Amino acid sequence: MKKKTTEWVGRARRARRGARGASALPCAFLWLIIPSAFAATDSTQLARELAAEKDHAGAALEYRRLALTMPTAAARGGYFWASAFESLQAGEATAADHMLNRVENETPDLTNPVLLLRADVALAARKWEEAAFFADGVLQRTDAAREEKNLAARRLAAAELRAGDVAAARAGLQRAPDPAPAALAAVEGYAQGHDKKPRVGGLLGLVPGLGYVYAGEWANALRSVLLNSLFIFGMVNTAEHDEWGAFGVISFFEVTWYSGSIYGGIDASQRYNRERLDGAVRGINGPAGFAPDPLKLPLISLRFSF
Amino acid sequence: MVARNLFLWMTRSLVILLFSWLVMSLARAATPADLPAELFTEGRWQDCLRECRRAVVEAPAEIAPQVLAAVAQLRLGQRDSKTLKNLATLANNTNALSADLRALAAFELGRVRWRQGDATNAFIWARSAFRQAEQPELFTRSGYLLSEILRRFPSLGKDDGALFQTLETCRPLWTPEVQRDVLGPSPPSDSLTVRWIVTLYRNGVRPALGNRCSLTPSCSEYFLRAGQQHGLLAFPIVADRLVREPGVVQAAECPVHVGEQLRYADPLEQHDFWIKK
Repeated sequence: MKKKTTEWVGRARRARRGARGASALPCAFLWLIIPSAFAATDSTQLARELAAEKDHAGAALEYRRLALTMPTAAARGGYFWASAFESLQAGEATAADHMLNRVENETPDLTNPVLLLRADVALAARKWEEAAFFADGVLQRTDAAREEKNLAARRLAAAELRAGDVAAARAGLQRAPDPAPAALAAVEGYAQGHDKKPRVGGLLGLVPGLGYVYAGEWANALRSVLLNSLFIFGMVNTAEHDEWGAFGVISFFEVTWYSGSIYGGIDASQRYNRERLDGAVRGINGPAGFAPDPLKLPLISLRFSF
Repeated sequence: MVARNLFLWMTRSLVILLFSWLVMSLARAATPADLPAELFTEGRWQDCLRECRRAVVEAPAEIAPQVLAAVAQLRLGQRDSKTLKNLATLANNTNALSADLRALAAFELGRVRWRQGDATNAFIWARSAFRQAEQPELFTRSGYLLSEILRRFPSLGKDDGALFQTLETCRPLWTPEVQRDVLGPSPPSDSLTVRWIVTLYRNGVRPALGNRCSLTPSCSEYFLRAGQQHGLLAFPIVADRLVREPGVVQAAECPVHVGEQLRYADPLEQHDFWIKK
């Protein structure tokens, strides 16, 4: 019994001696890691503040700097993702794409947030097929959350509609786990409407103002008629009085107004079609979006809004 | 007992090794020295300049960020004599700079001198860059710059016959991208009629009327850009713009602050995208 007690005491003493030596290592470790942790906190706060002030390009750069200072691949990936998100908010789709490539190199398992952001980046870069591909990728994944799939379905529908495929847009929305009646109504509304034919607009523009009328721009039509009438009257009047110098100048302006009426007829139809499409896409997306929780970074925790 | 001691020794060694690796990786990760270089490669000059300044403040002894900062300044069009002098000093610093950084500084100086019309100095710097460059991209670019200088002024290289031969072997590497990067984008070709009308308006009419256009870009700027991109089609394009102007102002969808005034954005890209399709 006594031997056993002595053994325990001896072990305890040895353990204490060992602990004294071993405690140097964690202390040194903490001494090294604490300053860098504080520096990271400062930069995160700065990045958050810049993002709140709408200086998204500045925030993207701060997150990128943070990513480069992180010791683990997971943390680097998280901050690169945040940098990509802020780059997209700043309208820098190429930079966002570049950052997402780095996220994939660092953390290949961060798939769903990367795919969602890639779909948005492709939409911003007007690459409809790519956007549809990435959104479809989220919808096919079994580990994607319900909200992620709901958002991906809207992005898929928007991309398909932009690509001119109404049926695919409708089918995309129907793949969402939760129904989106407003988005479906926007697609149906678009399908029932009709585009204006730019060629018809241009031909009607041969009669000053009529091209604008075709696209429903009555005020522009009236201004075009008044300007053309005024200058044609000027041409006739100067010709009647043999004032050929003034006739030349007025004719030059009239040719400009007249050709402007034809160009305006085509452009007004194009504008009408684009606004109709933009309206439908706005209807599909609604207020749907996502953003990372900045307080949880570098962990990517997405907050969705619908 | 021996086995136990051996085991303890191995465990301690392993712990020390792991700890050293951790310290090394932390120390490496704690200095994002790559960021200025990354931004430089991406051609984001403004960001690169800011990051280089930050790096210089944090480590004043580091010379590489100073070179990148000076080059970024030149790329941003800040070609003051102080920057050029500073870059020339750095380009000749054989002690503290790598050959590639010296070549980069020399290449930028050659490029700037060539654009300023100073062929002799441009040749000296470009040749220096070409001889020192180890990085393939810099080697190709400095070679192309040198060949352009010698094409216009062959007498500059008359003492160095081997140089012509070396440049000739590099010719297949000079892609249009390299040419554009070295000489800058070619200036847009103006329609002379459009340019003449805009000049006449800006010098003769606008001083009397004042800066009245409510849109941004202004109608004369819009006309000029349309002329550069579409030639005489600029006339109907600007006529359409003048007809639409009150409508755009009334809709007031994209207000933009230009100086102290509020203007409405109406870029050309929104009205000629269908021509480019």
